[in-house]
Amino acid sequence: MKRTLIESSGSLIAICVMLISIPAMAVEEKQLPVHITADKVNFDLNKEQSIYTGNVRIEQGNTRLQGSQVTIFQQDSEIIRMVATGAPAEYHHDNEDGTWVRAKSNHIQYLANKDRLIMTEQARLVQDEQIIESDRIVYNTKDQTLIAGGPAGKEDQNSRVKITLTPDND
Amino acid sequence: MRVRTREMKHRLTLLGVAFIALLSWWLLDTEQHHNLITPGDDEHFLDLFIDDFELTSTDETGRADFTIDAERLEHYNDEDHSRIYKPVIQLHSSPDGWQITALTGTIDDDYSMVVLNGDVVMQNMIEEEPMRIDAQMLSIDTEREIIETADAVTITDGKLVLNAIGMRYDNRKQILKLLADIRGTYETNPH
Repeated sequence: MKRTLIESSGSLIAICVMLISIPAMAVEEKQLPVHITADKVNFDLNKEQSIYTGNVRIEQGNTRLQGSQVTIFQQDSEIIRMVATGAPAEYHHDNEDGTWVRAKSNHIQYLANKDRLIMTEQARLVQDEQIIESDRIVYNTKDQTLIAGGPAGKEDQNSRVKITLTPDND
Repeated sequence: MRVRTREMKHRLTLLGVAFIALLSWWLLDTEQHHNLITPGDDEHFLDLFIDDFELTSTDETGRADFTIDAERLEHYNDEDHSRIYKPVIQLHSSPDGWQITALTGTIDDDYSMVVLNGDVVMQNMIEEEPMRIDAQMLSIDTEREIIETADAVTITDGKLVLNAIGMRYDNRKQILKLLADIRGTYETNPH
């Protein structure tokens, strides 16, 4: 099976990858309850912020976010943002058709009101056998696009994007 | 001579009888003192009770720190704490304030520690969707304003319900910690 490896320097600021079809979280799934398990939690009642530590797992339907620490930010009792850290923190999503997405990085930020997942620090996203690696990957959970590479305006030769594509055997 | 000897014997006899009488009286008196019942020496009894008990603690400015209301307070002679029934504790020092109710409790004689037992419910006193903590036991350090338990607790905060083992709340810093085995659910669409 031939693999195609694409590497890009940091001078290419952003790559919009449509080749990798990453299923968006179904609208129905977003209505499902969010289940949380952890060893400990600290609530800061002044800031509407809770910090979960120790084997943290947050699951909603077929989606899971896990790390050694997850901070949940709320506003008016609604979750607006979650930040997972770990070595690495992980994002998993399984589809009904058996396909799946796995993402890892040391820092994963989920913006609930923007349907966005921002992975930094050794980010790696895998779908089946297609792999994207970069210092930064921003994935839009709603319209199935992702952007990999350093932030705009911060071209850096060390900020490389590596894409490994595995064509289907058909 | 015979008359004097007889008188002497008679006097000695009288003296002897008087001495025996005195001795008997002294012995009887001592025994009675020992047999006097001093209330509570070896007994457990109620020495104080108050119905519709209310206590308010204030800070140096005269503002209420906390209040304790109870249907009844009882104090027993041989205990260093009082028992309270249907207590309601209100903490006023934090911005929202907290109210804590239970079936029973105890208060140390210096009011520094309150322990609540049975269906303990702690709620912050804001109007909409107050945070609620349910437990079977909570201890309140009134001086440090620390509330804690090693037992199971349930936290309900809006759409979030969390169960855990162990809790520690610092009312001055407004930091709530759940210490182990966190399991919970956040309802995104409860309707």
